[in-house]
Amino acid sequence: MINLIGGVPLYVLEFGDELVYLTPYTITLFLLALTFTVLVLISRPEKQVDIAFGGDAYRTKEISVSEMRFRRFMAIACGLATMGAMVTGDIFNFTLFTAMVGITNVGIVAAVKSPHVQDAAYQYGLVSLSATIPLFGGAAVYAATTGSLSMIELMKGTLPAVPLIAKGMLMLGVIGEGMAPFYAAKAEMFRAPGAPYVIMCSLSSLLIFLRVVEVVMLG
Amino acid sequence: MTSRSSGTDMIAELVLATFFGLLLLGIHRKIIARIQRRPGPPIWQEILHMLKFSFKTTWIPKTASPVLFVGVVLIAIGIWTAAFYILVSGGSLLVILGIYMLHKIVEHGFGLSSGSPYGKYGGVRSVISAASEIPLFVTVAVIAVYTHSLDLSAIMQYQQVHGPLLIIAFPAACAMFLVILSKMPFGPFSIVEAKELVSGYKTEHFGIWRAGLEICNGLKTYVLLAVFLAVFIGPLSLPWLLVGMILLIVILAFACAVTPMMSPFDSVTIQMLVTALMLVYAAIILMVVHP
Amino acid sequence: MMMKKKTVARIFWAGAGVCVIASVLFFMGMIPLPLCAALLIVAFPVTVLSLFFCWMAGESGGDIPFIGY
Repeated sequence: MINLIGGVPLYVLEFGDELVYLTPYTITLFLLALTFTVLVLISRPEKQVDIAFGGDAYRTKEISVSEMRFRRFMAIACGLATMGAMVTGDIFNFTLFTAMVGITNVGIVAAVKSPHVQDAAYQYGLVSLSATIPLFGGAAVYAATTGSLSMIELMKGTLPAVPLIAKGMLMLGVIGEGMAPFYAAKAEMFRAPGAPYVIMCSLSSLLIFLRVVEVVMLG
Repeated sequence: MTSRSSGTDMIAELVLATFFGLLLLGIHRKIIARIQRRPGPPIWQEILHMLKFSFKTTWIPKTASPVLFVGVVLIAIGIWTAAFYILVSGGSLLVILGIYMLHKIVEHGFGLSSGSPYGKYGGVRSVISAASEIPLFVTVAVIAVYTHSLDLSAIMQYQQVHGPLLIIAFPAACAMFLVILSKMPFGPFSIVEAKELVSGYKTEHFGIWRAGLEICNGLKTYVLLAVFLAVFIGPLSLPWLLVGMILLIVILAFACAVTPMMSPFDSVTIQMLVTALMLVYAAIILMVVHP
Repeated sequence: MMMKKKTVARIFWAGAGVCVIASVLFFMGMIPLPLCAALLIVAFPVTVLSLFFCWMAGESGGDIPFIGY
């Protein structure tokens, strides 16, 4: 129905079933994920200042190095998963990376010692866990109806058409990882200190959403 | 506006677009002021503003995350430079949409990197206002149904044959207008820079950092308005493009001047409502135009 | 980290050089648009910020309040 959004693949790397392909669109997304992951690697977290609104009192939060170290690890893992999801040419791998992004997003804020943030992370975790059902279900319907999970094969247009329900499930699964209207818990997660890491939460789900738009247009 | 081959001076265009975008923001402020019976600043005020900030003392707050604090300014200018080149090369609308969404990440970066509570709440509000992006997706989907392509050049070609999409897909144009409105300063949806948060996400970025942000804003305004005209009116020659952008900013200024800034909750509710309406519209289009 | 006016000026000239050379090469049709755009996307923000740093900085030694106080 619609021409390929991502453009013609410039480069296809095959490891047997696992294949990676790059189009102008996925390269752009990949570079963005890479930029922010590098930013996480090299930047130190900020010291968050809390104020009592209406008063003059303020204080700087103290955060332990070990906590930040763990969160940085999670943020880098999240960046790697996002980068994987950007370049993978396999629908099942894409869903795996997406699920991993959901898990690492919880990990990024799970170590924060604040009840608000912990509650939000818990709620977000529940939503993203439930979202993996349509996500993997969608991939299963892809495999069942077309007999292939390879995006390159789907792109050729020789396989049977992908049913709308499979595309819908895949989309719903990705939206559940933190796009509107399921992002409400995420806003609370942003209260957590450690700006470079917290930004990964938002960036990863955004990039995965942009990628899934390309994926559902195939086949 | 059409696809550029060699023979255009890219850097000059970029700089001119930035200044014209700042001028548009100045016109926006002036019109709002006149509607509200204030004299208002001169229309080149935003350009002066940018230059003023670039001469101010600059440092990085002690509580900030230095790399992110500086890096996010570079990223802000960088992504809108990219959007500008996608626009002039007639590239994919989806990438421009992606950059629009990335601007949200930039807002988070600005807000959270300083450690300031005001900036932080600006950043949190910018997550909440993510609802404004969904009408944009529906708009893009509707356009794709009509034009069978998401390349700006193909969309413009379609309009040369079939007439402007503004008439064919009027509700989509309204949704896109709302999306642009939600990024305009002093608008009903600009909760990220509400005055109860001092300046919201940009509170702690002063001096040169703010000048960089102003450049990003100028470029952003230019790109968003030009994309609107390209997608809904079709290919325009340069003078008409500029006239169209001024006209659009006048309409936006009226919308901003006569509406109060909403509370975050109301802002999100309205955006969600528009999204629901757009989904219904898209479903009708899919069944009627493209059964 | 203290930055001297001279260092910032050098960064500015390098960035401006990349911008101008990329757009001139594109103007003459020697490089494709994506390459030109990629160069400008990287160089333009750096050029702009270093230009601002360059003109607001004082001549005297460590007066450039870049990072540090």
